[in-house]
Amino acid sequence: MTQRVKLTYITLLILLPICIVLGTSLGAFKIEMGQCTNILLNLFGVDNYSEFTTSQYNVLLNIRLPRVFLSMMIGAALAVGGAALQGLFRNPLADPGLIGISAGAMLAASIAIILGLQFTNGILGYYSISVATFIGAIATTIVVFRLAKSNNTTNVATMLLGGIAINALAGAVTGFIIYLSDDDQLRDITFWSLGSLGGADWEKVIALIPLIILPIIMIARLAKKLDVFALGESDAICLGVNVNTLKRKLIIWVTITVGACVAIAGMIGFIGLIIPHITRLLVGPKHRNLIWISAISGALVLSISDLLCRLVVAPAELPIGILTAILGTPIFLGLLIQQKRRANG
Amino acid sequence: MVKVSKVSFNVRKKTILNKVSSSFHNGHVTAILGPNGAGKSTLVKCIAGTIIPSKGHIEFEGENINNISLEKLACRRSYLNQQFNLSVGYTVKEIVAMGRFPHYQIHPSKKDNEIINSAMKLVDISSLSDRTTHTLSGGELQRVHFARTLAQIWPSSNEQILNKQILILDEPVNNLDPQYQHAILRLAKDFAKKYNVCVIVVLHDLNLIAQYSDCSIVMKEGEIICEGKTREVLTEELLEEIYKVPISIIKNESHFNIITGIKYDQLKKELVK
Repeated sequence: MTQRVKLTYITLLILLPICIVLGTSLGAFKIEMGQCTNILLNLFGVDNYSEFTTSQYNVLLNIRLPRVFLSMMIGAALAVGGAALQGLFRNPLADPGLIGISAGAMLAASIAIILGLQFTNGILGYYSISVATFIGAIATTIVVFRLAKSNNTTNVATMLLGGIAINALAGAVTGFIIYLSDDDQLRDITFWSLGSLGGADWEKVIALIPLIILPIIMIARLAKKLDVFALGESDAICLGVNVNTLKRKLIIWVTITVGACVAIAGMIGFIGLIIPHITRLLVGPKHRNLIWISAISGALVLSISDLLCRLVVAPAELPIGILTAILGTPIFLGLLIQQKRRANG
Repeated sequence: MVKVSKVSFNVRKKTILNKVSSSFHNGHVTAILGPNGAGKSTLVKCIAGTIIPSKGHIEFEGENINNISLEKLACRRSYLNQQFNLSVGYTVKEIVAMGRFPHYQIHPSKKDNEIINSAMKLVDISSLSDRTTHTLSGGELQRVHFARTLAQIWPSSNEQILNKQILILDEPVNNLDPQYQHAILRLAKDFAKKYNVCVIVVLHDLNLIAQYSDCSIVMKEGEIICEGKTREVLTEELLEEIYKVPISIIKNESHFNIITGIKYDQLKKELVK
């Protein structure tokens, strides 16, 4: 591990708890930074209960903390999903949207909203949009994957083209649904498409843990193979990589984790594209570092974005998709210009 | 030894290889030559295992390659492709290190690192070690991938020398100046002799074939039309027939030179003039 990689890990791991404290203390309901730290320490058995009120304790523990964790998990998953797909397509411009995950999720969510599924009774009604979105994301990816498969091999270029076609089709159907929807439904669909972490609670955090942690670990285990895959398929085969198994595993884990994120938080763009790209510029293309550092950076960036969403127009909230794009673009362009200058000497 | 038995390869209805059978021996450099579209690269791809023949089978030391796992195969055979992906951002050392990928689990061992450094030194790319691949010239990139291919089958113990490695090179001298063309083929030949490696090389330069190969296989339209010891196989008549240009061969005990585009008598007249 080079000095630069070590330094990046250390910096990010220092920033992580700082982000948790900031994310839980700042917001419309006032909790001082010191009180916030005390409440968090209290969770680990350090008893100093007297310095904060019960309502502060409740807001922090039941509203803000799950939201910070949720944003961090989703940020990590989207970034790792992007890094994995950029490795699979051997293209730094790939992101989870390319294989139809987002378009399928959007279509399914629109159908669920227009059918009024969220107003049906019981647990299925409460989670109907999330469940529909997850199914939609997975179903479209299966279609794209099937399109690209012939004679037991998966053609990555066909998958890319199939993804574009399915995205266009899903987009058209979604457009038609939007055309049919009334004003309330239109508002719901629009807000869903801009993404939000507003409904965060411990139930969602717990439900997401296996769907995010496990895929990230499984994708990280494929890091060495992804490096060899960068040489091209035939070289990867010659170096002992079963490329078809690699592609299948990557698609499965990315779809599960990104599908789960989209189901919970709606469409959050840019993280999957930009975080791995920035990470690659910082620590190089080796996937072992790329995947883990992308995960931590994604967690940080999404939690900061979510914090800003809550603060900018408090007590209202901005949709998070807007913030990720506003924050990501200048950083990305800055790094590109820096890289260009370095290349030109 | 690599044995190819009645291997055919079809793309839709077009036959690229038609019932090709041959053997490649350890310790020898076997050149495959023939005009463009003869099926040379397809044959070496089948032997390398990157494409599966439509019919027939290939054996390494008597074992069908379909029955050998990809991981085991990767420790025994390496293949230098004709085309390289850019693999943006990786350094030269990282690319060469990928050659040792089949030999370690998470981190390369001390021995693997020694091999990586030795392969880079042999191919004269040690000074490029930290350069990223997209800053290299075509020739430098060719040498980097050759070093990776060597590192892959570099024996890390005596046991592996007995394991009889296979080195497959598809047009390895592309983009190289004459100095490195000879250097690379000399290294391939040294590997064959020193480590008893079976070297299979697709080449167009007839003089390099004459100088560095022990055996030659001549292909045309997906079939082998002649094979045997290079000195015996390469005749003016055969080469003129397959390449459709005048060819002169000058050979004695120590020399074996091939001139293309002109017949020897005509050349002599020109020289006298």
